[in-house]
Amino acid sequence: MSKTYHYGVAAHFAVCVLAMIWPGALIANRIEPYVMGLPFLFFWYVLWMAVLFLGLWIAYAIRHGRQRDE
Amino acid sequence: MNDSVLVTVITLAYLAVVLWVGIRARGDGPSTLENYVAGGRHIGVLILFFILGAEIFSAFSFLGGPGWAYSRGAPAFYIIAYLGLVPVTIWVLGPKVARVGRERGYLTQGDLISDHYRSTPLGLLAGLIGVLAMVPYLTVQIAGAGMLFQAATNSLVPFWLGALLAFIVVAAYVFTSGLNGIGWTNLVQGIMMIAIAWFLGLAIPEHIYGGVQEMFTEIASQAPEYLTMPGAGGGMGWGAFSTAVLVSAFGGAMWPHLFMKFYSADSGRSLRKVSVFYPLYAYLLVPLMLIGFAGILTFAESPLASADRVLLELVINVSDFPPWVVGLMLSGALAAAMSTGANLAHTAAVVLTRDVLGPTMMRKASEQQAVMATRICVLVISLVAYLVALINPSSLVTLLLGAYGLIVQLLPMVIGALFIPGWTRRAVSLGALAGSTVFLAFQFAVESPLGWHPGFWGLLVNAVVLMVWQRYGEGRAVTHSRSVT
Repeated sequence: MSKTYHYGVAAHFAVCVLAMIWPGALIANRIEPYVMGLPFLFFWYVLWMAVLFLGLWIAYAIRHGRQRDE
Repeated sequence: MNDSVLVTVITLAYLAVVLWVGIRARGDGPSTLENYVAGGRHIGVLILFFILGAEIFSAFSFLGGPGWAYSRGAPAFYIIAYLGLVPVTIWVLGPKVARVGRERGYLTQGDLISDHYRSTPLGLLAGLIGVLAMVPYLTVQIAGAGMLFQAATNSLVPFWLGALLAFIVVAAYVFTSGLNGIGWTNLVQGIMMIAIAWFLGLAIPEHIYGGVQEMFTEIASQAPEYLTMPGAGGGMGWGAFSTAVLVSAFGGAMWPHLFMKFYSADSGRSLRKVSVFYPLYAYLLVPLMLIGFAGILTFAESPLASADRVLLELVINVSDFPPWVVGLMLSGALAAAMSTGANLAHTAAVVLTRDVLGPTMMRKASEQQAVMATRICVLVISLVAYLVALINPSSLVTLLLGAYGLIVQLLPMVIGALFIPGWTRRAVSLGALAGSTVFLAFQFAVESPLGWHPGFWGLLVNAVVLMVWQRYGEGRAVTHSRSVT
């Protein structure tokens, strides 16, 4: 796999981690607006779980999508 | 029929289903160690997903998650964050561990460590730490099952009997079916947990406040400090929060019961696929958090003595659910305790037999004898954990937190074995030793600086010592020579 791919995956992981801890989560530390009935900080974690999932899915599709086996 | 009897009957029916599934899962494969320990290295995506998911969701997350939300509010999101980030470790380490394990026949963490660093004592040590850490963990699950039974059946089934029932079932299917039994029962138990958690998580706010957003608006007007960091009741600073997420997310995979599942995957690709879907498992915590938040105003007048009981109190005493719902709640929570417990009993037995007894008392044992010894260890370890649960379950949570920080100190050693061949035995051992010492000091003796997670300080020191020894110490250690692998 190319270097770009590995850097891409690493960057995705780094962004997701930093969004959920200091300092990324600082910008979301508020109650309003409510999204899906949740206060904003709660929703923030729900959102980043989805982002992590989508990024991993794309990474998986690029690397393993057309493989039949190892 | 009396309510408590109905609750008990429903739960016993659930236990019977789990037992049936677990024993049937044995299959007709040969009774080899690889089959018993790692499902013959043929576990596919679906079962792997439920094994890795259900073993992380223990009695502790089912009761402790809502407990954190109830007692502190927003800091509870750290549990969502770290569980969601576990797939990062699975993605990076998993395929490599699976490949090396297949090539060299590893089944435990100790196998990898002792073989790579050419040191049987180091593997033995990793094995011992693993067993010592897993037994209190298992005891917490057993005690959780006993407490749940007692509370939900209004003491019709006392603590000792509830704990015994749940763990006879677990010991029976782990004994007969090994990892295959764990896989299929975790599928059943995982689905049970998810269904019950979502049902209760939406029903309780609906019942008390008329809906989820209504509940949060109410909390925002009466106790807004719960909804943002640093949370209520002294709260948790960003430093403590962030380091706790990092240690738990990246150190969590060092727990032998997680790590060793990498060996059981049918391919590295399956492990990658599991990590893709893994963040969705963290959504199981969302309804559990909602339940915890629902308790904040409900128990504002008379706070609960133990925050971990918030789910039980809300379901049993506040919400007025019919007894069959209480029965299902009990089954769902037992599922969380039993699925983790099964993995722990299985892994602790494997590690005890292979890493601790293998190089000492059982050097000449045949494979058949090793399988039998592992099975017997499943029973012995379950029994020991059950007896400890009867004596003193409460102080165990502290012990467990201690165990966690210790396990994390294996991380550099494992990374070295997998990715950085230049790291020497001496450097990683010194690092682990220094890291563990620092961790123990900050956990039990002195206050951790900046309020950071003691395990994080331990890891920092661990890494620094390792680097310094690699750079300056190794040249002078003339006696050291590492044979070429």
